[in-house]
Amino acid sequence: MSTDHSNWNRRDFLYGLGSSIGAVALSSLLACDTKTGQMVSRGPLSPASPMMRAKAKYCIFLTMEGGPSHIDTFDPKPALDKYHLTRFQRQGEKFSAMSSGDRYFVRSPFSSRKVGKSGVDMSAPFVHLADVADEICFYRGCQAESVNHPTAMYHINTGNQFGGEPALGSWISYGLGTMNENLPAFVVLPEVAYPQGGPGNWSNGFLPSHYQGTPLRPEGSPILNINPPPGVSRYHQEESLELLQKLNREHQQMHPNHDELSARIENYELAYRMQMEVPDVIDIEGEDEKTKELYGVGQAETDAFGRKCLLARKLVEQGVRFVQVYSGGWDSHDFLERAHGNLITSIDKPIAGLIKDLKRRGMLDETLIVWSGEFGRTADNGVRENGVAYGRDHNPDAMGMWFAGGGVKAGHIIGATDELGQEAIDVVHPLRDLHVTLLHLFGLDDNKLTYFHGGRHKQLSQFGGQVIKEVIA
Amino acid sequence: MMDFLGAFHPLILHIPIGALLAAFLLELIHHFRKSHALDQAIKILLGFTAVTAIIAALFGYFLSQKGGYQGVTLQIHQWSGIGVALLSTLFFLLKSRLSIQGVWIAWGINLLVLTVAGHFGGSLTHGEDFLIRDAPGFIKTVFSSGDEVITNIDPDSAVVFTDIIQPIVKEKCLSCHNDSKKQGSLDLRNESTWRKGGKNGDLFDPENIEQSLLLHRIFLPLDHEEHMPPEGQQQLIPTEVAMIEWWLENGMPFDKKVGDLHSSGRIAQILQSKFQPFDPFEVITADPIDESVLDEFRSNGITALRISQKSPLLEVRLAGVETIGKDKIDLMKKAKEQIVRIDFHGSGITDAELREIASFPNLVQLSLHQTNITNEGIESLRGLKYLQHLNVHSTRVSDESLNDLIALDQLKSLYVWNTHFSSEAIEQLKSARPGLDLGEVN
Repeated sequence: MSTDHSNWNRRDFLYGLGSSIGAVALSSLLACDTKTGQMVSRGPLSPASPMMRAKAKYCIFLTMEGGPSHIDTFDPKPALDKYHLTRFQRQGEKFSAMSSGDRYFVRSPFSSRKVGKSGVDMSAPFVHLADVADEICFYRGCQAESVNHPTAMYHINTGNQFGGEPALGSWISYGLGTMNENLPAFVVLPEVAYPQGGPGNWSNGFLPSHYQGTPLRPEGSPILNINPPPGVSRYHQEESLELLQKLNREHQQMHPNHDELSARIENYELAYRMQMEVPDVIDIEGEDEKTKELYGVGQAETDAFGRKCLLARKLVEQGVRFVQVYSGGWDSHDFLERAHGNLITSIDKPIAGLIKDLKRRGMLDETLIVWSGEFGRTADNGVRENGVAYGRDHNPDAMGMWFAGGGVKAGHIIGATDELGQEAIDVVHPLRDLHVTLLHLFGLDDNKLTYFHGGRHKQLSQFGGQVIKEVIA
Repeated sequence: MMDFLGAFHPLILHIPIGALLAAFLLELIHHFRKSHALDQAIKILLGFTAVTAIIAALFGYFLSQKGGYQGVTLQIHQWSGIGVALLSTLFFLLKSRLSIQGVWIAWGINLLVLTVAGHFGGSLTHGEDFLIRDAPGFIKTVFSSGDEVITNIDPDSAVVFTDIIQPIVKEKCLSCHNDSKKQGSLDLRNESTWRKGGKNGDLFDPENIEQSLLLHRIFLPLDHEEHMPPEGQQQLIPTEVAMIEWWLENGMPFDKKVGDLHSSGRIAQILQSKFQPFDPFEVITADPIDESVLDEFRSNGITALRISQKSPLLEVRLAGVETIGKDKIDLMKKAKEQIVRIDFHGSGITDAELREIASFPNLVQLSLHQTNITNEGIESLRGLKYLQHLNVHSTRVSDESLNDLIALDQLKSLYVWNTHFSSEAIEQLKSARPGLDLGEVN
């Protein structure tokens, strides 16, 4: 909401006219309280003060796409041993295709043990993560809503199952800006295959385009054409960019409320600045061997995810506000042992390395790490392959996630699922409460971090939610 | 029969409250628009109030006889409740004889007594702090119930017996149970005398914790001869009882820390409100900085943000800035009192510049990692009494700085990875400052 009246467009004008009694006074009061007003005068990505004092300044969101099984990672269910392969029938009403018909229970193929001084649970394939167990706050009470991958991905990433709304990283950049204006505020490190739902998962939605996530390619040059072609000097580039910007600005004068246009202008400038900064930041070869080894870079199983974790650290170190790192393929409907086993191994050392590295650099306090999928998995499975290809179905009623750094309660398990892991039963909260909590950790109030769009003030949680106090230190 | 009727007290009591308030509302309307009908209605309502208040008081008395309620709160509630019944009856009977002024005074008295009775009744059923339990922080501080807050201790490292239980005992039990007075041959001065118990035996029964002598005596009704502390003495408040119960449920350990015992729900809540780790941001005061100064910062390449939108305190980021230079330092001096955090990491800050920065009295966090600062720079930090977080990883800082670092009283975290410190020096640091976070895992 711009307070500069010369920039009013038709909609603003009509809105003001229609609601001039009371509502206008109210919305301008609200505007003082949120950071919108101050942003207008300073550029959309300028750093802004948090609404409340907070520890977290940066976020590394580790997204396990496909729905990792809480039962086979951090929430063991020994009771399943008893019921292993017991067949039963279920008429699922809500999730018919996924959980009705002939089914059997499946025990975890992995043993589990208590690790760290805090004695938290981890399944056997987690070897290195056990070293940092006491830094982690495990949360077992969250519930998603959708059983389908794309909608569930949109839900956890944008607060809305339908997509098209701003991602968490966009909201946080909108609230706090970036600490380094030569880099994007919100960077995404996807797999070669984008997650289900595609780039909508890091969309800026209705927020100005400056807040969209910038994906860095996992293979080859992370950003295509970041270096000027041979024969084009920086001087040439500067000249032609200047001309382009001049023409764009003239065009903009005629369309002052066209935010895609202003984002485009900003993007050209950002890209130019990035040419200076990015090659250095994304070059992880400059790191010493010991550090690379810490993340599992150079080892076949861990190299890909290790590189992304190391890059995430480098980006955060340079002031990037929000980095989302994807690990794909957690959708283990069958061959659970092999599929989850390999995936756990691929993330285990890199994540442990990331936490150790952030810790020794004194960055963990200010960096919130989140590990989560889009939903959890069921304790049972539909009968298939004659009962040998054990796996698990999607489960929105129970999931596992954890947080580290950024002001969370380290070395604790918060909440619980039932005896079989089918449903969250203690400290139960919907995803919107997770979003409210994450914003809160950054010193942002979900009810105040709003953007006027489509006739109302919209917010990440859609309509408000609760802070999950138990996870906050 | 009395118990049965007593159970209806919480139901009946709302009727006179509603009736009296309704009558008062009519009185207000009557004051502005005189009407005979209103006057009649007020009388009817007052009569109704009187009758129902008498019934409520009577039922309340029955309920109190059943037990379970005790203490000053009950006394106040009981007498103010009887007061409401009495006053409303008198008011009903004598209203027509009072002057206009007298009527308003009578209203004042009636409503006041009603409020007192209602409030203390609420305290009995919902707990003393029921009104402010979910109130915003600033209200809580104003009305805090005298529960002592322990500052400067990290909750998890507090010893349950010495830091929580013994202070309660000292205040409420020790005057009778000490080495000179020893009522019931019980002395509660320290661990060994606790373990001895009194003439009635051990205070703690591991087989049946709920029936342990200590809890048994505390939970007896107030008028019971054996209730502790005895009637007339200062009583334990609910949070104190909860703490004692929690301690016993965990086996009455004398050396365990809060962090060693499981705590959840209400206990966790009490613990959280009981401890207040030292928070420099609560102590540091500074005048709000002028917005124009911040603009000046910005135009000179200094990123300065408020630590929260309403705070006068600032954090400054100069990470990666190749040369800091005199201009920037002089500019920052304008906000000397307000700046509490500075991030210089990867910048060209020199020891001499750091010396100037070290004159900012309120620094809480200083990030100097990946810079060229040396022991000389560290030495200048000595006077910083609020410095809690210092990051010098990947610098040339070495053993020579050890004493300067140990001297930083408030230091909670110190990141020294990839510096020239010897492992002996690190060990020395650990033993001199246990609990200091050195960025090591585990």
